Amino acid sequence: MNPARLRFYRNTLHPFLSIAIPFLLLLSVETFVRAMVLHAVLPLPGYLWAVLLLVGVIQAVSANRAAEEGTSSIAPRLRELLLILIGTLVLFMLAQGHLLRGDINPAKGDVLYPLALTFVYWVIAFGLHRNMREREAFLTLVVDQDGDQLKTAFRDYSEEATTSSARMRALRRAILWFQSLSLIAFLILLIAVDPIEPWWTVLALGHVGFGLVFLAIVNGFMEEQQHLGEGLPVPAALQRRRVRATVLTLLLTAVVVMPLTGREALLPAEAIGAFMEWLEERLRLPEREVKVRVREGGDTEAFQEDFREPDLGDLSGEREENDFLERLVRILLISIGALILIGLLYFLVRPLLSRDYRERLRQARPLARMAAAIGRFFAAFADSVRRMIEAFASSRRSLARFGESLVERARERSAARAAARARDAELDKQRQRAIGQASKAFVRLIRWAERGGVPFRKWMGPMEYLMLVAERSTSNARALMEIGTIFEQIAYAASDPPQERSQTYYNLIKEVTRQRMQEPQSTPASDASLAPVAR
Amino acid sequence: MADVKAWAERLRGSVEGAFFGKSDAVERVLVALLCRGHVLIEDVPGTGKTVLGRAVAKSIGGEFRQLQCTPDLLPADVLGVSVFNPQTGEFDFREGPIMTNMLLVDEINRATPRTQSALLEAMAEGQVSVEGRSQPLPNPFVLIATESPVESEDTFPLPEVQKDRFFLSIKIGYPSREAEKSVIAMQRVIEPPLERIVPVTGVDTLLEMQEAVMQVHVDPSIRRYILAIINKTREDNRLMIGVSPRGSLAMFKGGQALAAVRGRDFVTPEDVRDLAPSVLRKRLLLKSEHTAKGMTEDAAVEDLLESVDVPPLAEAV
Repeated sequence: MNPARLRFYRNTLHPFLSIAIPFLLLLSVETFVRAMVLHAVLPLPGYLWAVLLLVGVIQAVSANRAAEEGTSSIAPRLRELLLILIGTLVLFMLAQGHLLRGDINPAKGDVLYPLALTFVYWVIAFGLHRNMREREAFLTLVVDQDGDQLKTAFRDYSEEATTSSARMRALRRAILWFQSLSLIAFLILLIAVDPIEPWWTVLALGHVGFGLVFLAIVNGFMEEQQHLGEGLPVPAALQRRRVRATVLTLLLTAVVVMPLTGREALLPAEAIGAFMEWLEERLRLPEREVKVRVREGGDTEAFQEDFREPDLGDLSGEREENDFLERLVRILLISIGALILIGLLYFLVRPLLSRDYRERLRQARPLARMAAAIGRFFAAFADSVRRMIEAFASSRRSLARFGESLVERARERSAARAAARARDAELDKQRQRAIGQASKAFVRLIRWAERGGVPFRKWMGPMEYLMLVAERSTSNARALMEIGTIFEQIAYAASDPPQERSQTYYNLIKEVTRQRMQEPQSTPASDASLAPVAR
Repeated sequence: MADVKAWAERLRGSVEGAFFGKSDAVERVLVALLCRGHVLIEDVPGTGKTVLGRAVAKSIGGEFRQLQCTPDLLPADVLGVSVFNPQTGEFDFREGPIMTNMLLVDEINRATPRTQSALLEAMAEGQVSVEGRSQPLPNPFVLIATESPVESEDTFPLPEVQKDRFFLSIKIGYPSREAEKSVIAMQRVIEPPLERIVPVTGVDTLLEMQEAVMQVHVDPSIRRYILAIINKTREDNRLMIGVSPRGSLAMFKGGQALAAVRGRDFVTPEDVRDLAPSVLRKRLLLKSEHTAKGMTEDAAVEDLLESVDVPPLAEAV
């Protein structure tokens, strides 16, 4: 497994799968269901599919960003989902013309249905991507290794390998489920609907085809893991065989499905209609018998007693009470709605109120920057005025040249500022990347030490942990202290260490993790080995 | 930061000529000095609190005074008093012992709250107000106080507000067997070790070192780590009072000083963790039910530190 391949998985293939699988599955299932049931009930905006693709891309980008930042909390993702739902709701309301008509009630089929599809799409995409993330995490541990080294790494990270495999199996199950679901829908369609439209067949074939390709990819992932576990690359012949099998299955499916769609439906629509009528008859509720009192003998006292108008005076109290209750319920409902809305808003804007964000804001110092910008503006203004006065005073300098020089200066300053900002941002990005790489290498060392019985706790500092490891692995004590010192400089110092020092760091980690962890010796490590390097 | 490290080594060597086997405590006092902070040394009697305070004070040139606290000590005895001068017919102000660079306040909890509070303004503002006049204290002004937590008779526990004024609180503890052996061996010499201490650095050098320490880099991740620890103290149900913003500042500045003393120009999580007990101990107030169960501030600090993830490894693992 080389780093380029891992990057391809992480940045391209996994996000693509997480976007494409739910998209195609939803597309086919929705089309079949629509053909059978929903065609007259719920209109579907044509642009929905573009919206879904966009949502998929947002999900994939957010997932990769969260992984880069090492965030495992679900709250930011929920927030992302809520924002997507709110955004798409507004879009649907606008596109369907409700908002333009001044109607802000979203409880409409042509809004709620696409919204529900968006929700389902995001959830499936999120679940798929999360499963594939485990595979990425595992492959990160074995990257850049081959042969016996690779086999050993697989044994060392057997837990991660098992998790990755289990997630792949879960993914395969999910694909199979969806495949089955939509195939059943298609079969029902074949039986129930007459006539069959030819493009449904194409869709069904496409669906099966894509399903098979996805299954082949996931199976390929699993087989690749098995091969890597044996220290071997995946044979190209195996991959070719899989592609051939996929194509063959696709052709066979086409052979079976095409004749079915070419003739009359197996079950005519009239038969289903008769069945539904029969069912309705059976399930119909008995009608309530309404007794109509005929005005007979209207002048009699009994009749007058029965149909006497109620005394309005008696009812007014009751009506007031009902009004009061109604008002109370309305207030209660409005209060609950307002509370939910406030809660939702708080949840959405919470990151902006967090200490971390405030810290970042404080570091960014927008007010100070604004003040500095205003200061620069006034300084430039004063400078301009001064130059203008000079220009007017001096007959030799023309006004046009003065203006040009001003514009030139402003352009130069602006370019210099933009370049400085870009340079700072690039430096920061480089630094974060360097810290990320160094941390990843350190994690490899942690895994090695954990296998030797020195567990890592998240509250431990790097040097604190390495001290513990050095007590167990006395022969590596000096190297471990060196690793700790360089790591601290990478992670916490204002400037990065020289290139050679960084290289030393990675080499030392490689060297140490290649060895086996030794048992503690009878002589204390601190005296023998730590003394020359103790800080 | 090599200068600060060399300076600290020199000072440490001088102090350890009279105070053996507790280099951590000496290091903490140096940190407080570099941060212009005041130190509270507390432990059972006879563990060398006063010796440490005096050794540090004597090792730094500049004026040094000692104040032995008793229940009848008055604020005027600390700050100074105006005395009528019959020759001029006016009142002359006579400075109290507080007008010095290094003030050792021995057994501070024996002074009455009134006298203790006379020290508050000096510790916080670097000035004293006597008879309506404000007088600045010399620069630097460092107050080293000692107290014994086991005695209760004729003592007045320090109020929370005053505890917060101390930059660090240091516990010395009993010396190791080897260190105690050295203490006994040194007593055979006729001249007590404390008397042999001569200043190894001047007040000006101390001021320079204080300036240098402020240049130590604190990475944003370390700042967030410090804030996370402080925040935990405010959320912990076992605590009646969490740490004040003054505590956050102490952690920040103390981390810079400790890094400089250790010869680094950047702060690491270990610096923060090492310093946390000394900074936080006196700034926390445990609820009585937890105190009754035998819980101590030190144990609470230990728990808090173990509940905060250290960046960036915690995120990477």
